[in-house]
Amino acid sequence: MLVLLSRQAILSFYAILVAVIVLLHQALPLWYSAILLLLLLYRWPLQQSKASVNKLKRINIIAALILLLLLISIRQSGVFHFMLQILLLSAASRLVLIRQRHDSHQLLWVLYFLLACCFIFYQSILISLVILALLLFTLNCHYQLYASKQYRLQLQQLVKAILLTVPIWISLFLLFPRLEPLWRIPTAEAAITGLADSLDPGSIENLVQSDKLAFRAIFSDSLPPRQQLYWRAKVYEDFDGRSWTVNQRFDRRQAVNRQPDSNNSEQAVSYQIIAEVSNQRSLFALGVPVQYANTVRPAAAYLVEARRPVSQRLSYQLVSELQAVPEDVAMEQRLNIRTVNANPETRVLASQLAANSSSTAELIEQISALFRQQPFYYSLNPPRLGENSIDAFLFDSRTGFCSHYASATAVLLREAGVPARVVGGYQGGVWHEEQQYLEVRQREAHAWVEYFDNGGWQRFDPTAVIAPERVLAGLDAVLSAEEQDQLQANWRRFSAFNYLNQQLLHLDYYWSVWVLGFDDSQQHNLWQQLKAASKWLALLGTGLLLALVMWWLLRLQRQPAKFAAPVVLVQRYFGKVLNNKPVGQHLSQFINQLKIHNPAHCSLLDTVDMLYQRALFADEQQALLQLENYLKQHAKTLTTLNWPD
Amino acid sequence: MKRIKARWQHWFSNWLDKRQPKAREVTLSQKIIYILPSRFGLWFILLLILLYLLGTNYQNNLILLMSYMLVSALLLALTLAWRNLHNLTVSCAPVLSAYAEETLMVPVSLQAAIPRQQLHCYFNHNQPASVADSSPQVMVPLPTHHRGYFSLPRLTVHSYYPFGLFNCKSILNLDYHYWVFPKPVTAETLTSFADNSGNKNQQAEDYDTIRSYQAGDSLKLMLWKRLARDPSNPVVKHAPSNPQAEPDWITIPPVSGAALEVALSKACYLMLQLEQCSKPYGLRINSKSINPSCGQQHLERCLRELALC
Repeated sequence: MLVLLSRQAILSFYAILVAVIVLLHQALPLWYSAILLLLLLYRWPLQQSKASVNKLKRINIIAALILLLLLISIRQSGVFHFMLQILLLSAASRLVLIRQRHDSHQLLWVLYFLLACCFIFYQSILISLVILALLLFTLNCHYQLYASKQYRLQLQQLVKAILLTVPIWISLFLLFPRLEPLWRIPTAEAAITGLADSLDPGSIENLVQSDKLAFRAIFSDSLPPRQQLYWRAKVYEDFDGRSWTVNQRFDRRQAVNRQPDSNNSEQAVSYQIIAEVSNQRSLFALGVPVQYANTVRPAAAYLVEARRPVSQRLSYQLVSELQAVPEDVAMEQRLNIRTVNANPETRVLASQLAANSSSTAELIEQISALFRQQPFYYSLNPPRLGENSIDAFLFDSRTGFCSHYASATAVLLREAGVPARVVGGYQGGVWHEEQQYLEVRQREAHAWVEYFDNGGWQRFDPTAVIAPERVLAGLDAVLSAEEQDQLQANWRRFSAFNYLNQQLLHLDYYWSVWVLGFDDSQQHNLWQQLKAASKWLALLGTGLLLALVMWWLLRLQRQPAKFAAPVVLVQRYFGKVLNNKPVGQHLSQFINQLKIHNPAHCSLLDTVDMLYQRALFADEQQALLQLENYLKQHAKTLTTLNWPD
Repeated sequence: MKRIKARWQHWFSNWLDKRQPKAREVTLSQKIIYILPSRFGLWFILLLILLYLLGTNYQNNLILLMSYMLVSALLLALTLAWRNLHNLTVSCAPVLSAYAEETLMVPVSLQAAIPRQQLHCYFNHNQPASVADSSPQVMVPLPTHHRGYFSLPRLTVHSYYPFGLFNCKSILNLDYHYWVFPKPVTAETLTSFADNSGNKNQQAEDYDTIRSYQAGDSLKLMLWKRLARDPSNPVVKHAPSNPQAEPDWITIPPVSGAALEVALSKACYLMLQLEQCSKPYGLRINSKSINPSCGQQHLERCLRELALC
């Protein structure tokens, strides 16, 4: 059947599609978005064209050309983005030619799919709400296509519909079984955030300037002391004289087999981490992780990594033991004692220190003493260092950030013959007491040293020596007022904004935990709880069922009503006045009498009488409806009718 | 293949009859409302499955939430579609007639306590459906082919409301019959008569030969233009009936097959002409005869005779 779309419907589709293009801009090259918008402009000013056959040909040719362009650039965009681009192209070219209701089916289908794809790029609560609103708008447009034009969507019906669907929706989400991922998802190249695979002197200072969230942690028990909150993310083992890089052994694709060995479980800490998007595999863990959620896997050097780059918020559960990291592979010590032919002054210093100390612990103590006694400074803005960066730092500038100290310490240890490496990660975090979670931002980025001693990798944080407040109270405690200003974005200085922002972040936290973080293990728990409570549920269910049956029976009994529907209506709305009606008298006669006593309401009573007669004697459904509405409208007036005593 | 199709249709119609026996008035109940997914509905279900797979693959709860939301919307559409048809009372106007090869417009009334949306009615797949959008009456076209007296075919009432995902329909067997009269064909053999009537028609255009409408007058004689101008005072063309006019006898010759059809068509035309000039006429078919008379009722009676001949 041919049903033409209204102008309003077409405009709504335009609005939705443009919004989707804006939302998906990450997946689209700029030129492509521009082409899509131009294509949409093709049908301006939205006239119902007669020569649609001609236009179809033209649009097909244009679409084919665009498709060719897309195919050429497929290498840059990746398969998933390519699919989105094709879907958008098909939606746009469909929309340009759309005339009939039938045509809108494909368009709606594609729009629903694209809206779902938006959730791959955005998971924050605000944008999710925007996408949800768009989805509801699309559903409304979809509804309008098949509804009568005369009827406006009534609030009462809407509420009823929502009440009907929301329980189904939520219980499906909570209880419907989830599948394991079926295939590897092609991921596109995206800018990585967080710690990089190489650590220059200066890279952490840049990272610290960012106020972005890195991850949140929720502890099953109490929060461990701050000095223990060293979140390991990366281990740097290769040194070229200036910067540290991650060794190739971390690149292996296959998982590291690791038996859980929980010998001293009193040290174990159980926690959940919600990691933000970083587009990297590396994740964060405390100490030695012994139990892993199935979304993550162990990596070399007792690190934890995701199964694929974290392109959306990832939640995982871990159990860690807060102790020295054991040796992972035999070659690890050899790997971490390699030195390069650079920094000659440092080499001399290291050999002096080594000669003065009998054990590794003593060596560490000497290095600490060096930092403590010599005029070393902790600063966010250290001077630039030359080619032999360690020499320049230790003997010249003596001003640096955590990466400088860690790097210098590791080089000193290596030159002194102790295996050592630099570990990058985060230290501390902001604890929110009320919400019970630890918020770790990029500004908590940190670097420290691990050296091999007593059969394990011992942690040594030179920053804790030079600026102990950094570890105990956070970065702000160490920095000068100017440096603190440098870290804070302008708008964050206003306390109202700050407060609002913090509240939003808390909301976002609950959103992440309850909505984004809900996974099959939690679902399993829920099922278990339901099973445990099955007796009560069964009782509740039978109770509800019984109530339903009772209600139904009551309704059945009431159905053969004593009086016809119009009579019941009149009785209900006329109320007490009707008691004055003699038993045998007809309502029309009674109303005539009423009119005499209430001359002001003559027309009203006439209308009621007319509708009543039509409804009762002519059996008109329409009249019955009108009577009901009319009585409802004038219910108040009807109660004020006079009757002389 | 054809036989299988015919048997299937036979079985299906029997099955429908069992569920809903013929009746003058049918109230749609659960038993006779059938809800099937439309083509778009099937695509929509595919979309839901795809979204579920996308959501599990990306382990993205928001996509899962969206797919579950659309699932609940689908279920809502199912119930709304059912509610849109449930408790609807369908009936027809009692006397229906048309000339062969005309399209009979059957007035179907759809009574319901709460307003319904986008109800479509049709007798035949190929016929365009009529849409009853919140109006209690709808004219449903029914093409006629041969003369005769037929029972009304099954009426399909269906709706795509609310999302076009489900085709909620009811196939009703209404206990009504309709007449199909022979198709009127100009009779050239009675040219003189035709001329005569032509003259009279010309005269009828003049205002001398009109009189005010009386109950029982044929509507065909109504001067509609004049009625539009002056609705309170209806007038009809008045052919001055000469009392001494000989009654015309229309006789159907005892032939059969195509010749009979032609004769019936011509007789039908003649009858209508005579009725228009208010000339009494009688009908003779084989041994049966209807005495000469005039008026709408007489015409109807004669036409029915022709239809059944």
